[in-house]
Amino acid sequence: MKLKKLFRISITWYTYTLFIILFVACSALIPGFSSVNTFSTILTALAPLFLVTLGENLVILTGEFDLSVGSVATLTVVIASFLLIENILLGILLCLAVGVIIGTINGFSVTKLGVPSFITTLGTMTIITGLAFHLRPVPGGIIPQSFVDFVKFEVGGFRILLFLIVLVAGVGGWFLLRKTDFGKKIYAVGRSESKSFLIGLRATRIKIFVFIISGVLSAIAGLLLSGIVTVGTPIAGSGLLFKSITAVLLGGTLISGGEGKFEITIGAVLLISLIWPLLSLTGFDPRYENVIVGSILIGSVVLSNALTRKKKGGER
Amino acid sequence: MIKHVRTMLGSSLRVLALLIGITWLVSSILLPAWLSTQHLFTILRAVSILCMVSFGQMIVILSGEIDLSVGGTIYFVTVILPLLTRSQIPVWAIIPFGLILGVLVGTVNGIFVGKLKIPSIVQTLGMHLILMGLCWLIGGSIHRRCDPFLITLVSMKIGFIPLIFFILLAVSIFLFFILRNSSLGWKIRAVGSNPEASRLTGLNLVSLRITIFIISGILAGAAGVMYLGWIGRSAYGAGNILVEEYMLQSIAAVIIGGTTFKGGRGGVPQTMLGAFTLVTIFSLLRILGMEPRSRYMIMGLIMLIFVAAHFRARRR
Repeated sequence: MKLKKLFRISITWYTYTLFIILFVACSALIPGFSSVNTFSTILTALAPLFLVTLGENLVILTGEFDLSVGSVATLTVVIASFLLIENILLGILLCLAVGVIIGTINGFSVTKLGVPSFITTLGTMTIITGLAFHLRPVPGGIIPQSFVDFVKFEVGGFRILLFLIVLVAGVGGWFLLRKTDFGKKIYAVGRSESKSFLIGLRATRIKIFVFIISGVLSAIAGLLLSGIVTVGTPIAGSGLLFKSITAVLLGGTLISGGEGKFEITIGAVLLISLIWPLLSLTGFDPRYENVIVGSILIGSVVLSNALTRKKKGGER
Repeated sequence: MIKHVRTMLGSSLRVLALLIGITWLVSSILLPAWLSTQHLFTILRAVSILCMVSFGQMIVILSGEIDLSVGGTIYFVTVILPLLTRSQIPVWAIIPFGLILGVLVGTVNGIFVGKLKIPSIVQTLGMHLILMGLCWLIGGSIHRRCDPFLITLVSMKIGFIPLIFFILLAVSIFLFFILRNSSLGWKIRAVGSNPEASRLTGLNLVSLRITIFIISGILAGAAGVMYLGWIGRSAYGAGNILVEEYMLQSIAAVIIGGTTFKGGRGGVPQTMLGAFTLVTIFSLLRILGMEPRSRYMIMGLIMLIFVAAHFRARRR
């Protein structure tokens, strides 16, 4: 009986189950895997991806798409490499402002002009990437050491600030979606925009707000990245977009919006951030990562499609 | 005055044609090399390759889907074909093989989108990641030379018109009549404007979607062969264009040409105009000395402006 319950829980929280299985297997099979050093590496790669994924998840829940997240992070890294050396506080504020501005443009274009979010954010992504390359054609600039130390602040080899940020973002995202009115509105708009209009929700405002949140989170992710890579490079956030979309869909969020749990997406992010260290530690070419992430992306939707069809069939 | 501008935006394509006409006039007066045989040849060659990809993208977009894997397909073709040349396979077998690779990718995309109901964004994005990963693993960073005959074929010209431009013209006339006069063309537009209704009228959406993605795959494969003949070796980025960016450029060309995701607007001439616009602007910016990837700022801006104009025009 208890076993059955455990089984059911592990199915509901499948991303965590997979993560734990993989993690235990790695610790057992690969010597030197379960060291503080590895944790720190994983955490460092995880933190920016985590923030970006939270933003992407919110946007996808409203039934839209944000392709500009990775490029916003990249642009933030580039801008930070110019500004942080002048004045850290002002630089950080300006970087966040960039996120707000891009989010506003995205939201405005999607809701007020009626351009599909896919095209809008593809356009802004193109512009932002071009801008980042224009400002820094080759890696350069200096991130001040004090900021780098701040981001990489360690206690016994463990990067505590990154951990705190991940924790805050995780709990914050869960709280926002589960416990606040705004979270419920996001789900309502994602399920059916016309019905949410009938109960008096302003989908326009909610969507613009969600795009702004996504922009700001990407900018924060960019700030963290700038502390991690310590140089202004125009390809800093290149893998973030694909991985964040993969994490959101692997976490069971429907691409049409309105359904999905952020808690499970967190597990998916953990799982995806395990791929790179796993490949490099087992001696595979880490560039397999792209192939694996792509396969997970397609596979997760194939699976969720199959499951929902089965569920619907059962209801009939 | 404002009203006048608005009505002009309504016919945004005429504005586009006018703007491009003015750009050509001004640059041929100011830049002595603009109307030289070599420059015209370069422009037409770039147009031919971009148009090839964009036609496939246009047909996919007309049917309400998107193909993000075209860039990956081109890269795949340019990596695989030189390998075949090395193993002494004759050139007349290599060129069709490029197309077959395209068909292969298209078929997989079509089956997953049509049969398994995976959203095309997810499917083709995943496919893109997988293809890029595969290319890196096969050795995309190694520059392998392609068959010299292919290079002469692509650089062959009549006057200033490249041979491949005639191939493009033949393809475009063929596609124009397919879209206009064949039942396939009507089906594509019908699915794009209302998939549910067209399913109810008895269209076989599965086979239709597979056909559409195969067409896009073939055209991307053909573009890959041409690109390889242009660059002369397998390369991730050469000349002024990174392989991956054909994905962005093809979507931009289609969208600037006024093809929208719903309702079967747009067609072959519009897309050609869109591709021509992009190539002209890129060439102009290159002469003005802008970094290759910074030019994407301008491309994104133009794309967003025209998308907004098209959508405003349609709302009226």
